[in-house]
Amino acid sequence: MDDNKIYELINDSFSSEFKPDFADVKNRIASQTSARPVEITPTMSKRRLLARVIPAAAACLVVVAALGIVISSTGNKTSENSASVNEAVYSAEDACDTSADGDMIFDSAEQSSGVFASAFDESYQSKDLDALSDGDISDSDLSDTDD
Amino acid sequence: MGSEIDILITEIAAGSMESLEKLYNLCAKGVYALCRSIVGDHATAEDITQDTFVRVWSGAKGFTSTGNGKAWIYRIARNLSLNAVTRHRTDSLDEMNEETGEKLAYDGSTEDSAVNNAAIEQALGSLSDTERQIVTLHAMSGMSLGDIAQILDIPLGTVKWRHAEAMKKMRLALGDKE
Repeated sequence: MDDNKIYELINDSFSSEFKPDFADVKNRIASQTSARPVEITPTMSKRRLLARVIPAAAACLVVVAALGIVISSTGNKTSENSASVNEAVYSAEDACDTSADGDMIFDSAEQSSGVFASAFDESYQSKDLDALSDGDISDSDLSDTDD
Repeated sequence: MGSEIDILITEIAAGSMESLEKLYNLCAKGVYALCRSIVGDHATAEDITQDTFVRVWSGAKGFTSTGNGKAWIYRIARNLSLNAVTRHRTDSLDEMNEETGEKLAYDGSTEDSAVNNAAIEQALGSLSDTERQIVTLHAMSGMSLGDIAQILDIPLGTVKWRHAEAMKKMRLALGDKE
């Protein structure tokens, strides 16, 4: 059997098997095109967009301003309180003896409590004690020196 | 023919469905034969053939005309077929041969062409994958061995040698049948 006869047989074999169907190719192309994701474009107009954005921005500004006021008032109070406490401690230190390396020396527990109590009394006589009551130290705490 | 196909692909890139139809009529059988020789299954080969032309349609804009548009199309078909084989991992050629045997027993008494087809398929089944692709491409598309070497991405010398070996095997297989 020569080569041409073999080619002819191969050709006949595959040709009888395959039935061309171009319509199917067209359908596949069409379905591929329709399956392509649709580009989403914003439909909201500029005016509508601004009408939504401006109130939201204004509300944000109000919240930020309120937070700023709260934070600054809390900061003032805290610094006032700490200044008063520091003043009391310095007065107590002045009222007692100190060792060579700077530690306070007390003869007894009563003496130490007495020194601190009088120092606090002096330093807070003319102060606003309400400020202290806002923090951890209350007036009763200051006078209660039994422990 | 090569340049004619290049022109058609250029027209397809411009959106001509008529040119795609012309190209399909020119190449579909050859493309099918190549796919069939790789995947070994009629339905899969037919599906890949159709898909090849869908790819040609969508990829035509990226085609650069070098006078070898046919090789470009067959390369798409070959890649799709190899992907299908990798996906399914089927030894469909053996199945095909078994089916062919049954077909021969059924159709042989009524139609000579069925006997010939079965004999050809069995003869092709005796070839290696590459030999089968070379013989099928040469027979169905009329491509030169040089073009086939380009499509299959193997040296021309190897293609010539394998083609000669394949034809020997085919003669032997078909001679036994006759």
